[in-house]
Amino acid sequence: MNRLLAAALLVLAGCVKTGLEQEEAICTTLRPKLEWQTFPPEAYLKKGADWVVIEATKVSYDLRIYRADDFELVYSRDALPAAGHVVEEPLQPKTVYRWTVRPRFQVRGLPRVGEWSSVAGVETHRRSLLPREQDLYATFKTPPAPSD
Amino acid sequence: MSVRLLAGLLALCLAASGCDQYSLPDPPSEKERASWGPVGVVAPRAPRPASWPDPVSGWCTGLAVGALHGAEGMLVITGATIVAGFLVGGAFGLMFAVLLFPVQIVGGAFTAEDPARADFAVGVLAEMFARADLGTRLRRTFIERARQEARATVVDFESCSEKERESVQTLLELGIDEYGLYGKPWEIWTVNPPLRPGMSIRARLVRRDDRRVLYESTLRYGTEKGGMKLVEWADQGAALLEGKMGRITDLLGGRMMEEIFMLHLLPRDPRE
Repeated sequence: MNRLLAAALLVLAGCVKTGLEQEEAICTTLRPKLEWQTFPPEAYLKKGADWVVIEATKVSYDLRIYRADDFELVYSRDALPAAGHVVEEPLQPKTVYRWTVRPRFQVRGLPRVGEWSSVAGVETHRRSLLPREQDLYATFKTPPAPSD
Repeated sequence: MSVRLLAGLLALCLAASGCDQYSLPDPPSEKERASWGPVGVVAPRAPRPASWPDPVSGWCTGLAVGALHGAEGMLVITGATIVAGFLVGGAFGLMFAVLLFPVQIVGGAFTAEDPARADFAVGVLAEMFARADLGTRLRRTFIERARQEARATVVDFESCSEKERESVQTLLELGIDEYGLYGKPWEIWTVNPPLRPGMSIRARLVRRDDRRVLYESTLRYGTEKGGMKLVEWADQGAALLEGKMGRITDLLGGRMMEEIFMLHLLPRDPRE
């Protein structure tokens, strides 16, 4: 299992495809619902597995949505309590976006974060060059405006 | 052989070898973090000034630089096609380069800046970078976020009290390695190409008693979008560039803080 939450299933409700593939998902709404796997992944919670060492408590999630063409951050939420979120402000129509989430949690009472989710493996994802890593985030495209 | 030509050949070799120069080290473990004690942030001994390619100015200089770039381009295009293993391709590459040569010369003459405007722009940029003091901003952002978000015990080693200084067990050298305006690698033969802001920061965590390096990492920011000519960046006192460089500094400083104090990766599954 990948160390990243990226291995999680990223689902765009109201969109034709899941967001896990590199190809962009097409949404039917300007306020898509984004969903992701809970943290820690279930496999890390199995009792008796000697490699399970995660001690995460008070888990929440940070979400970022970037416009794909200029990497501009257009939507940001921190400490979301659930593994899903309906975008609160309408996004621009007919625009390609990249989105990513990461877990925020506590380890022995100290605040910690996980890696931003990615559609690539950890070796590809953990790179020192910003903001190119956004190329590895899941992609979706918004529909035309309702009047179009 | 000029620096530009060497840089071009190096870029070609790196691209061909698929060498990954941007991989990040794993973040420190929780056990390592717990062993650091209070951390004192210090500036590197020799901070570097901002850099940018000086604009080519004046019709005659533009003509000459265009010719030089044309000649360099001929060598690299021909060399690259031969290195790729195609002698016939090399011949075509040479023909292409010969055709490109006069275009480079004429282009150089027409894209050269007015000398007075170029000098003024360079002065504005130098003044802006001096005023912005991005190295101090980087350390301030890092310290504030480490205290607030990671709840880490971090002090500014230069300005803290004597008592705080004595308590510091680990020093973090944090500074800007390189910053300024940069062109795309394949645009180095263009006279006055569009430039984009870039920055590289380095962090080095050192145990104070035996100078052992506990962690070292570099973060870079670079984008291929939103380029403007140097003289355009200098418009209105370089206010647009000042804002962008500030945001880049905050982004890299915040990200470095997370890498050092907050990032907690899941352990690798041994069944993989």
